[in-house]
Amino acid sequence: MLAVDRLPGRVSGRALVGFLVAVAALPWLLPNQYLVHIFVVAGVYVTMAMGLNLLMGYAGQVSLGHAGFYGLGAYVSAVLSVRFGVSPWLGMPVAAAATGALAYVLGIPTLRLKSYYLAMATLGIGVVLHLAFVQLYPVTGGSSGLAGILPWDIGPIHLTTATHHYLLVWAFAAAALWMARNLVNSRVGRVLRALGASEVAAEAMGVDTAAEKRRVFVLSAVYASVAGSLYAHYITVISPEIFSFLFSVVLVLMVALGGIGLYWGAVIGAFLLTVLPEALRRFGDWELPLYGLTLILVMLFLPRGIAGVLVRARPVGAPAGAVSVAAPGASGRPVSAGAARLLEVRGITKWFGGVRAVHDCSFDVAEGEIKAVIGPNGAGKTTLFNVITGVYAPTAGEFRFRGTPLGGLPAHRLARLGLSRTFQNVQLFPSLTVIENVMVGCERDAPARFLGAAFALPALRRESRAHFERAERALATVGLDGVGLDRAGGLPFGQQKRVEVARAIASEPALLLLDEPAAGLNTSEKVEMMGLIGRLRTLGISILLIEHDMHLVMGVSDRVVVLNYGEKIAEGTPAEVQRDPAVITVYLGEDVAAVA
Amino acid sequence: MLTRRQFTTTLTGGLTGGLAAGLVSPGRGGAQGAAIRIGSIFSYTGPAAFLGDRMKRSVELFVEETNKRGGINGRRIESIIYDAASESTKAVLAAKRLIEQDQVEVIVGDGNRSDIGLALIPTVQRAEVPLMSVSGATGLVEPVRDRAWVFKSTVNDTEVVARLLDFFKKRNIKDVAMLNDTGAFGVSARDQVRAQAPATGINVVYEEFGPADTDLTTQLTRIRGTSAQAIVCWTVTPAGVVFLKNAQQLGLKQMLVHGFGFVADRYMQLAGDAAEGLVLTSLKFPIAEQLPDGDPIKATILDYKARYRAKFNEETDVYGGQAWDGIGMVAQAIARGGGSERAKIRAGLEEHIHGYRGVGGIFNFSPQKHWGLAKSDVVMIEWRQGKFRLVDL
Amino acid sequence: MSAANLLQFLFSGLVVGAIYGLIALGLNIIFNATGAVNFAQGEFAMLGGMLGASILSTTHLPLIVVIVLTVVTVTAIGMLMERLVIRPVRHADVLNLIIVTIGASILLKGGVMVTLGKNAAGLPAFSGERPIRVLGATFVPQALWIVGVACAIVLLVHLFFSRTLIGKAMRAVAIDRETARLMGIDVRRMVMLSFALGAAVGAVGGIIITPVTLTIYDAGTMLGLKGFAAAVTGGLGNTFGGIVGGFVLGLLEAFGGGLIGSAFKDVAAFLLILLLLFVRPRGLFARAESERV
Repeated sequence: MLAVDRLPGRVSGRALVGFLVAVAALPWLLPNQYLVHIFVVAGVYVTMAMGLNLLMGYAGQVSLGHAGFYGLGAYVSAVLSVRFGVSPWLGMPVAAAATGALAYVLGIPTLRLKSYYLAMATLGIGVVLHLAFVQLYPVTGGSSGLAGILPWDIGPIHLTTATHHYLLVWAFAAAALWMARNLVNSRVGRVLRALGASEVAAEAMGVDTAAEKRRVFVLSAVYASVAGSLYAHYITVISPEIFSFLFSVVLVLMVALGGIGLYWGAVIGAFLLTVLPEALRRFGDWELPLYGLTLILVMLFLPRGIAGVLVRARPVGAPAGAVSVAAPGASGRPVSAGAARLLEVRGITKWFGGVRAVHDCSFDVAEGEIKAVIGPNGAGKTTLFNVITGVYAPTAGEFRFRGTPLGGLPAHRLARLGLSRTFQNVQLFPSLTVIENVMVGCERDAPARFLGAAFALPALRRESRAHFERAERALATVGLDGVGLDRAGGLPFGQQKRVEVARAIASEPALLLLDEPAAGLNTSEKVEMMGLIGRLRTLGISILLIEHDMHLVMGVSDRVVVLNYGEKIAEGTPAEVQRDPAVITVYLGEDVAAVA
Repeated sequence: MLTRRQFTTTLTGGLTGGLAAGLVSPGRGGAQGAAIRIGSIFSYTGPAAFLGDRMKRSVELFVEETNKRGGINGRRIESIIYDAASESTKAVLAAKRLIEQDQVEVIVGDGNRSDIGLALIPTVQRAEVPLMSVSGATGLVEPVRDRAWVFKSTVNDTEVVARLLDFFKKRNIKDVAMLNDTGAFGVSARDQVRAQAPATGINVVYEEFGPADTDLTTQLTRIRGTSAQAIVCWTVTPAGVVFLKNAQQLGLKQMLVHGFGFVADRYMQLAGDAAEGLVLTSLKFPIAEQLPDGDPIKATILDYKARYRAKFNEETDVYGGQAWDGIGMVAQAIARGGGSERAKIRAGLEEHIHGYRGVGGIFNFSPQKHWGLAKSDVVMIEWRQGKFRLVDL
Repeated sequence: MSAANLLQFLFSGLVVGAIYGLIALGLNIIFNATGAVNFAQGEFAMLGGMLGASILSTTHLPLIVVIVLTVVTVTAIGMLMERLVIRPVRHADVLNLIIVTIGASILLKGGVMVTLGKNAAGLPAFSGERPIRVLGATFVPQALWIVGVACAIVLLVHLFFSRTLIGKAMRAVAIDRETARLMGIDVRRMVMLSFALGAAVGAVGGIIITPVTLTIYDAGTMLGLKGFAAAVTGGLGNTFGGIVGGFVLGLLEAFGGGLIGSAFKDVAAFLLILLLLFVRPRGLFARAESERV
C-alpha cells in the first residue's frame, strides 16, 4: 500500500466490511423482533448521522434543522404513495431530488453565515418546514399525520417482518456508509477538513469554499431525505413531529456524542441515541432527567465523543531537517531588461468604514523578481496583501496579473490563476497532518470531483497520489521531510511557518506573496528562511513579501517598496531606499533625517 | 489511577452493559403461564402528561384490586406500562416491545393523544393484538373493517360535536366561532364541525392556535369583529386557560365553550374568575354527584372516585376514568369470553360488552361498532362557583 | 380592520416581545462572558415560574418574599450549573458547550417534572386583573409589569456592562480570555457571575410572565427557542439588540397572526428571521467585524 493510503484519519475498508458483516448477522442473534426493530431505526439514524457528520464534523458547518430534510424526504414520498399510489422505489429518489434541490437553493444564502447565525438559520428552516407541513393539511394530513403509506416491497414480495426491513434499511445504510467513506478518504475529504479548519486558507489555496460547502450541505440533506423515506415506508404512519426542532437536536447529539468529525463517531452516536431512550424505559418518569444527565456526563468525560477516545493522537517530534542554505538572493540585483510584468498594481485604495488603510498604491512585480513591501506598523501592508489576494475587495484601483485584470475576484480564483500566499498569523489546518496541509496546496489545479470521489473512481486516487508526491517534494524543499505524518497543529511555530511555505510551493504559483515570513523566528531560523526564499526564485517563483526585519529584507530583495499611512513613499533597490530621507523620517524621525 | 485505556474500556463496557440490560424486560421466565399480560401505553411525560398520569394510575388501581380479588377467572393480571412521552415514534417502539418482547395479549391505552393512537394502528393491526384506545379522534375506530383490532373507551368527537350543535340550536345560537389548536385532537374536532354545522344552519368562523401558545388575543380580536355569539375553544393544553383569561381581558361578552379535553378542576382554578360561567362538553363524570339517583352510572362513577381517592390521596378525573373503563371492559371480555388469547379478547369485546356500565357512560360494542358511547352519554356542564354543574342533560 | 384592533395587536406584540427580549437578555449576558449560547436559558425562566408557584402554594408567604426566594434559588441553580457542568468543559469546542447546556436543560426539565409535577401552574397577578382600556384596546396590569420590568432590566444590565468595572471585566473575558487573565481579571469568577446574572434575569422573566401565560415543566423549550431567535435578530451579544429583536419578533407574531391569519403567526416570525439572516447575517445591530488574517 502506498504511503498516501496510510494517512491517519482514513477509514479502513476492512473495518467497514467487518462492521457490515456484523450488522448483517445481528438479527439472527437477537431474541425477538422488537430488538430487531430498534436496530432498523438505528440504521435509519446512522444514515442521517453520517450525512450530518460530514457537514458538521468535516466541513464545520452547524445545522440545527436537519430534521426538516428528514421530514421532507419522509413526507414527499409518503404523500406520493398515499395520494398517487407511487411506489416507494420511485418516491424515495423523487423526494431525495426535491430535498437536494431545496437544500441547494437554501444553501446559497445560508452557508454564507457563520457559527450561531448559521445554526439559527438552519433552525429556522427546520421550523418553517415543520409549520408548513402542519398547515398544508389537505395534502399532508396536518397534525394527525398521514396513514396508509405504501410499505416496502421488492417486486411482488411484500416485506413483512422486522428482519426483512432491517436488511433493506441496512442495505441503504451500507451504501451511504460506503460513499461517505470514499469521500472521507479522498481529496474531497481533505478539502472538507481543510475548509472546516480554516476557510480563509483553503480559499487562498484555490478551494471554492462556497461551492464545497454547498455540495456537502446538499449531500447531507439527501442522506437525511433517504433516511426519512426509508422510515416512512417502514412505519407507514407519519406525523409532523418528525420535523421537530427537538429531533434536530437529537441528530446533533448523535454526531457530537459519537465523536464529531470522526467517521465512526456518527455510527456510534446513532446507535447510542437510538438505544438509550429504550434502555431507560424502566425508569419511568426518571427517564428524562437521566437522559439529560447522561448527555452531560458523556460530554464531561468524553469531550471528543466516544469515538474520540479510541483515536490516539500521533506523537509529534520527528526531527526536522535544516533548510539547505543556498546563497541568499543577491540584493540590489537589477531585474533583467525586458522581464515580463507579472503583477501590476494601480492606484489601489481600501477604506474600512472611516479608516483609510491603503491609498492610491501603485507598483509592479516583474517575473523573476523578489520585491519587498516595508513600512511601520499600521502602514497598510497586510491590507494591501489581502486586497491583492482577494480577501478584501479594493475600494478603488485595479491590479492585473499577467495582463488579466483581477479586481473583485474571489480568493480561490486568484489562486487558480497562479497567485499563492502565506499568512501573517499562520493559517494552517491544525487538525490535518503536515503532508495533508501541503497537499491542499495542490487543490488549485482543479476542483475535486465530488461524485467521482464518492464512488472512489481510480482517476481520483491517481490525482491524490500525484498530490502526495508533489507535497513530499515541497516538504523536502523546505527541509521538513521527516514530519509529514505529524499533526500540523502540534509543530513548533518555526516549522509551522515552513509548512505554510511548502504548501504555497506545492501550489506551483507564478507569484508567491509572503506575509512576514520572519515573524516569530529566531536568528538562525531567519537565516534559514532567507535561504529558502532565495531557493524559491530558482524554482521559478516570483516573490512579493512583507517584512519588518530589515536584515532579511535587505539581504533577499531585489527592490523594495515603502508604505506609510497607506501611501507609497519610496521605491527602489534596498540600498537606495535605505538612504532615502523620506524613509528615514518615517522610521527614525525628522531630526535624524536632517542629520543624515 | 486508571490509564486512559482502562478508563474508556470500563466506561464503554459499563455503558454497553447498562444499555443491554435496559433493553431486556424484567424476568419473563419463572411464573409463566397463569398470568394474563396486559400492556399499556400512556404519555405520562411530555405535553400530554397530565392526562396520562391519571390514566396510568387508574390502570394500576384496577389491576391491584382485581388481583386482590383473585384475578380474572382465577388468573392474576400482570400489567406492563410504558411511556409514550407524547411522541408517536416512542409509542410505536413501546407497542413493539409489548407485543414482541413482553408478549402481552392486549394493549390498553394509546399514548392518550389522537395522532399517537393513529400511529399505533398499523402495528397492532399487523400483529393482531387488540388495542383499547383512550383518545378522541373518530378516525381511530372508523372504518371498522380497517380497524378490526381497535376499540375505544371514550366517546368519538363526532358525537360530542353533534351534541354541542344540538345545544346551540336549543339556545338559538346561529353564529359560532371555532378556535381549535393545531394538534390532532383540535383539528379532528374542527373537521367534525365543518362536516356537521351546515346541516344545522349554524354559521361558523374558524381560527386556530398552537398547543403551546401563550397569547390568544390576536385570534380573539379577530373573532370579536365577527357576529359570533359563542366561541368554542378546543384543546387539552394550558393554552385553553390563556384563552379564558384573554377573553376576559378583551371584555368579550360571547358564551365561552370548551371541548371535552378540558374538563379539569385544575384548569378552572388556574383561570380563576375568568372561568366563571364557562360551558363545557363532557361525559357525565365530573358532575356525577348532581345526577339523579336513578342515573345508571352514578354509582359506578362515585365508587371509582372513592377508590382512587383512597389509594392515591388525590382526585381522579374523567380521563383517568377512560383508562379505568378501558381495562374494565377488557377484563370483562376475558372473563366472559373464556380466554385471554388475543383473538379471543377481540371477540370477547365485540360480543360481551353490551350495556356495560362504565364511568364514562354505557358501552355497547359490536362487530360493526368499536366505539362504545353515543351522543346521549355527552352532557353540557358549566363551571360555577368552584364546581362543575350540570347545564343540559 | 379597525384601529382598535390594530392597537390590540400592538399591545399583544409588545407584551410577547418583552418576554422574548428578557430571555434574549439572559442569553446575551452569558454569551458575552463565555462565547457560548446557553440552551438552558428558557429553563431558568420556567424554574422561576414553577418554583415561585410551588413555594407560594406550599408556604403562602407574601408574594414579594416568594419572588425573592425564587430568584435567589434559581440564581444558585445557575451558579451550580456553571460550576458542575460548564466549567469542566470550558476549554472544549463551542459545540461541546452547546451539548452540555442542552443536557442541562433536559436535566432541569426532567428534574422539575419529577419533583414539582406535570401540571400547569400559575401565579397571582401583581396588581390585579382588571383590564385597562386604551382607545378601544385592552391590556391587563401585568402587561405593564412585563414590559416595564423587561425594559428596566435591560437598561440596568446595559449600564452594568458599560459603566461598571466588573461589567467591563466580563466583556473583556468574552473578547479574549487569556489577555483578560493576564490583566488580573479573575476569569472564573466572571464566568460564574455571568451565569448567576443570566439565571437571575431568566428567573425574573419567568415570574413576571407566569400570571399571564401560566407555566409548566416543559415551557422552557419554546421560550428558549424564541429567545434565541430574538437574540440572533438583534445580534448575539448585543444587550439592546436582544430586546429590540424580541419586540420585532413579538410584533411580527401579533400583526402576522392578526392581519394574515393565525396559521401564519409562527411561520411569519421565523420567515422574517431567515430573511434577516440572509440579508444582514450579523443581526440588526451588530457592528461590522473583520477577521484579522
